[in-house]
Amino acid sequence: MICTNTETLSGYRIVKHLGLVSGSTVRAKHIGRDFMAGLKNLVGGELRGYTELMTEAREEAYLRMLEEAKRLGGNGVINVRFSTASISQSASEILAYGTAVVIE
Amino acid sequence: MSLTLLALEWLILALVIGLAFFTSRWLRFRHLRQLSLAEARLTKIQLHQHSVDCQLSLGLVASELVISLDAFSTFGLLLLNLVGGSSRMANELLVRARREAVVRLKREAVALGATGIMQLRFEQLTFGSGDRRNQRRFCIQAYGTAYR
Repeated sequence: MICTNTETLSGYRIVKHLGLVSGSTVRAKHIGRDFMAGLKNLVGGELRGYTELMTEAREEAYLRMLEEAKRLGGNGVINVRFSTASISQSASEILAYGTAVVIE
Repeated sequence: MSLTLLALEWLILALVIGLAFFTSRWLRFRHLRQLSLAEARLTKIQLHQHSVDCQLSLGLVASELVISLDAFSTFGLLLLNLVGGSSRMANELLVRARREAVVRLKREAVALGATGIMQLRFEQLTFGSGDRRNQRRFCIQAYGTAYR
């Protein structure tokens, strides 16, 4: 399974385009992480707990997109994009989408 | 008696604020130093905002970073809301966050054995709109395709 955010795939040949696939996840913040982040808010800087949260969310959305591509019989996704939307006060949705392709 | 107690309380408050102030400046300074060191080590990875001709696409690399503005700069930003103008600290924070995200992206590319990253994109992720603290927390995402 190979993914890129370019329209072409160097080193491979795209045999067939299978259409749009997407995966998304909604994540809310963790209260323990939020407490530590509250302390860190005073001095500023990176909030590691939140960074991990976002990375996990992105990976989950990405994997769901890959699963959909696999279900369609693809073995690659090109032109992948990420996007987010706020759901409520403390939750957000992360969306990954791209074009599933068959490559060789 | 009560006057000395009051003075002591104020002294402790001033100490805490002073400590937080200097800690925030020190953390910022340390981060900037770590960044320039990491960037110097990773100069061999080329960054392209467009697609380039290459032998092999290695796949998507992505990194996120959540960073928050310190309380003092937030206060400054609040005052700035009244008179307008630009906030140097807020600007610098976002630049710093993007630099860090790029450094992490380059590390991932190195792990894949890449020589560069193409179609580099920056995105700002959101945490939900309601929380007041979200106004000074930023999540910067960078992603691209590693190639050889």
